[in-house]
Amino acid sequence: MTKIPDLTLKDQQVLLAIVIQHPNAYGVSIRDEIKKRTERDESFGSIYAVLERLEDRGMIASREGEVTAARGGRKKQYYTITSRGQMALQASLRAVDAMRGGIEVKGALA
Amino acid sequence: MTIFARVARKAVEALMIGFLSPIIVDQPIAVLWCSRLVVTLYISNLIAGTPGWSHHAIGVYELAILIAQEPVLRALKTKIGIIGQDLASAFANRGDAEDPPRLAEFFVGLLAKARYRASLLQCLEEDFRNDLAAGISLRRAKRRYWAAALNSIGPQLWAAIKRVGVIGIVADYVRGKLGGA
Repeated sequence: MTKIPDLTLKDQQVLLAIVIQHPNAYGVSIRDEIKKRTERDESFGSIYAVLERLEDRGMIASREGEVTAARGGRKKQYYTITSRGQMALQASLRAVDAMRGGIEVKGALA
Repeated sequence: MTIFARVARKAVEALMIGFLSPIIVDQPIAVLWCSRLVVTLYISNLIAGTPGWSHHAIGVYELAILIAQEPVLRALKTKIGIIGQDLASAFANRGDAEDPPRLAEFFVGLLAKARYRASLLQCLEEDFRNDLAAGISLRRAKRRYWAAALNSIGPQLWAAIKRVGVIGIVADYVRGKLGGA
């Protein structure tokens, strides 16, 4: 059985954004989805660094899209999650859920 | 060697290593050789006046290494050529005044990884066009483009700065051990 790779919080966020935006996930839409749901404004540099890492680990695949006028007549790069990525994301989210186990964090304990 | 010459040498090293090494991430050592060659042969000899024999020895040694590593130079030339092509295509189909700031695009093209350079430029441009479509003034949209561009290449810029620091320290140490100024 192959080992399921660990994911960072950013990995999780980018993978979830790709799943939500499927099949039209690309740089801008991934950034906007993360911003909409977490209110964190990520730079394109950090988004692409995560995308590169995930693609290297076989968790996402990319394809060239259509040419649009809004992008100066250039092609978009679309990303989709692979089955390996789905397994890793599921395992990672399950682990977080298991750790949380109904705990409500209400503030500092001290 | 005078303080002025030392400062000038450091400035040239910083410029060369800082701006070139991210482009040729596969051959960072080539940049070290190139920069040290230029620094030793040109800056030391021309600005400092009469450098010691150890400077000439280091210069000749580096020149020999550089010649022996011709494939590395070819790779450097290819990489710079690819960046030129990317930037040329990025600047294609332009003609109106409502374009993203070209200098910012140049910096992104220079520092971003080749693998996602084109996509990054495209995303930044899409944001820019969306800003204009939303009624934001051209001036403000350009400022926002600059901010997003610098934010996106920040990690690469920081890595380059750190590399300059480490290489500068190593170069000074080796030169000191060999009896240089």
